[in-house]
Amino acid sequence: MKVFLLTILSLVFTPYFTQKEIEINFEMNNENPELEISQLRYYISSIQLTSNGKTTFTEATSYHLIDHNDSNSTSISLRLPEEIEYNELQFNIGIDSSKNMGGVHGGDLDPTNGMYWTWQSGYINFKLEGKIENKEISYHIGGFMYPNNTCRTTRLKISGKGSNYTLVVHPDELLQKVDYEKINHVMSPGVSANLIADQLPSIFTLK
Amino acid sequence: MKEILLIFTLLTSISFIDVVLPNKEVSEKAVWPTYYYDTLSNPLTEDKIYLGRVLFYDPILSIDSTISCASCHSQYSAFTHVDHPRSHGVFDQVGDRNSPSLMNLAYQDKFMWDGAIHNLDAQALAPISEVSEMGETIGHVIEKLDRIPAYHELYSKAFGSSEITGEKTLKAIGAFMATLESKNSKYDQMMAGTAEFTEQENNGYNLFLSNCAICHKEPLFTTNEFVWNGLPLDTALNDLGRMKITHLSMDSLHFKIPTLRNVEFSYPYMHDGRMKTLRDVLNFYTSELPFENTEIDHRLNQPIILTDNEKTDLIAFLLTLTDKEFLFNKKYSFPFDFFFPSTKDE
Repeated sequence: MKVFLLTILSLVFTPYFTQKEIEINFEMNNENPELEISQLRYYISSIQLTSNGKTTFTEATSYHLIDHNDSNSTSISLRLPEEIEYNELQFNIGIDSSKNMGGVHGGDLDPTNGMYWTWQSGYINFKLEGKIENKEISYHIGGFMYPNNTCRTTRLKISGKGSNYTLVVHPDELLQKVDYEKINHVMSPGVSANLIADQLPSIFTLK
Repeated sequence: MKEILLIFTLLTSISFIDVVLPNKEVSEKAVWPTYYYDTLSNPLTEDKIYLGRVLFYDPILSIDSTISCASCHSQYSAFTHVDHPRSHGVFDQVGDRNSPSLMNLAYQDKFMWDGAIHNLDAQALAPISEVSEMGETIGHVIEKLDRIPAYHELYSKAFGSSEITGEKTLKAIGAFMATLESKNSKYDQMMAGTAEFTEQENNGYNLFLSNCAICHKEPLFTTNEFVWNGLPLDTALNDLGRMKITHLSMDSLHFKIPTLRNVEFSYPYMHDGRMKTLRDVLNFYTSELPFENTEIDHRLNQPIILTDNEKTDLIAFLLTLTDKEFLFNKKYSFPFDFFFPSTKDE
């Protein structure tokens, strides 16, 4: 019998704006552009570690709601065998199609979390609400059916064998790439949601 | 000689198939499809179905505790809102659509007139949250249920723990809805050989088969498809149907083909309830159908011709789809024992 020693790998999600850590619900009055983020929440799912392209670790039942209004939700602890090799971290931003097809689920996926649409079924993968230059923006990004599947995968190089990593999420990078003057409210699956979803993998970096 | 024999055998086998086919078709109609509903992810246990039934009849699901699911889906009218073209919810608000009848839902893959919901367990969220229906949030419903000890007991029986969550609540309602089965109408009995149609019903059945059955396919009496049946847009409501969900212009004005089971009691008809009687519906298909419009469903691109007598016969057949056992089945009805437990003790 082989005994696996488990080790904990913690991923802590932290929002940054123009290279500075920010707290959600805090106004950035003196900054330019003026920004106020009232909500930033998203699903992180299907977490994997890979070594030179080969998967070495897959988290079981891997669905996490990260809500930056709730500090208890912003870190994920992976329990993995000590000898596992990895140099890349991979995860989905959002909930995959098959989980969506499976109906309603519990825990982080419970519909009471406000990340499930009611008028049309399906999870909201990513929510960003706030004000930029005094304009309200509200992005509820979701949709799981072709051609409006908004679940996206990101891969990040991970070096060393630390036990604690900070994952930085940059809402400013999203707002730079999305024409928020024109697209300020996205509330349903479709072209705009796909456009924003395409930007999501690049707003996460490992510190 | 061998070749001749072979040809002879082939011929007889072909004619044999010819003889067998019509019977086979008849028997296929009576065969029900398998459940689309996933009973593995939500096993249909008695305690869960009972909890779902209690929730279905409890107005606590609405913001001011006035409207339950049963308010717009009453059993005696095949779980729809009889007499109201469009259903009304909390604070007497009127919605945009006619509440659909509820039966044989476990055989369906999409719900609502526009197919917005793809899983029966997620369905109840829509009316709970819709402002003009129950105007609630599932989170607040859970808070309210949490204050009632009797519910903790039911959740514990149904799920093994008394904690009340959104997932459990929706799955219980889904489980109850999945059990609403209507399979014992006169039509079903005729198919099973335990009842006989009158001459008029039989004539109506034949008219049904040649004019309606391609969309209202047996035994569900729907194909569960979304189509434009030629109904003109009501410009006051501006309801584009399935296009709202798919954003595809080809889905404009597409609505779900409804089942015709228990259609006698599910009036008024169409997604916005614009037709009061079955005769109104038949009159639409025979004299107002825009069959020459290229956007219409391809199965309706020919005129439908029925005499007044034929319409009467067709309606006589449609009434054989009434299932009294379903409409009065106690296991679907208001759970008096939960809401008025004292009456049980007496």
